[in-house]
Amino acid sequence: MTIRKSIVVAQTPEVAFKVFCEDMDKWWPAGFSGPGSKVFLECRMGGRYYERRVDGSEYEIGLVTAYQPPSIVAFSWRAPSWDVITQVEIRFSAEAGGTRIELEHSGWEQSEKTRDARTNYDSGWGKILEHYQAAFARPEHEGETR
Amino acid sequence: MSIDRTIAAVGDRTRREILRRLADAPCRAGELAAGFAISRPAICKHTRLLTRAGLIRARKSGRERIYELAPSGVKEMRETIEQMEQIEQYWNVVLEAFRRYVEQKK
Repeated sequence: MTIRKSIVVAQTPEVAFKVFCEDMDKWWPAGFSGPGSKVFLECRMGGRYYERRVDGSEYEIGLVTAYQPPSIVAFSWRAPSWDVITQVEIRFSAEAGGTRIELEHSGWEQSEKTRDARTNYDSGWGKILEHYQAAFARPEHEGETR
Repeated sequence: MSIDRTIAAVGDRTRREILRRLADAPCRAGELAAGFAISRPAICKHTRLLTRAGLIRARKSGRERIYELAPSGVKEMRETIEQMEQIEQYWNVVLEAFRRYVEQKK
């Protein structure tokens, strides 16, 4: 499964990309650690993507895996309590009225090398949940989930 | 429950296939490996991981172990999907915050 988001902003791709990457600490809503924490991106391939907490300590969320102004920036992404490392890729492209920004958050399928467009949220994990619901709706399992 | 434990458990094609089979019917440990192109010990690793994640369970029937979906899996899957929805929602907030900030720039 892959999370996909898209938004259009009224700026050129050059401005949008620069502000997105270089001013991240100014616009990004609070990091994992809540109010006051700020998120920074080191604007180069291999740079750090991290949050700085109110007490000055830092948490490295990931590393920059692609940096191609003004069109692509990508970084790895791991929440503090996780063992899985996921990937975030953001593409900027000119569109009437400004710049379309497309975000993809993937890597939830640790063992799948090829992207399968059908294995999205609905047909992937939603399907498994359906299996469970179907299995436990059968009479021999009645009441077990309660 | 731990979201990344469930993600790791479900984020594998073989394990999803095991879950799909067990959704059809409980299965003897020995029969579960049939039809997979991987060895029985490899299947055991997958079933161990799925058991630890609370998605399946084994019960004894005579000398056989029979695998079946674990009732706790319903909750695990539901909570994982909910957390994924929260992550999706988080990205909405992030992108919207960016749009507001960048559009006021001259």
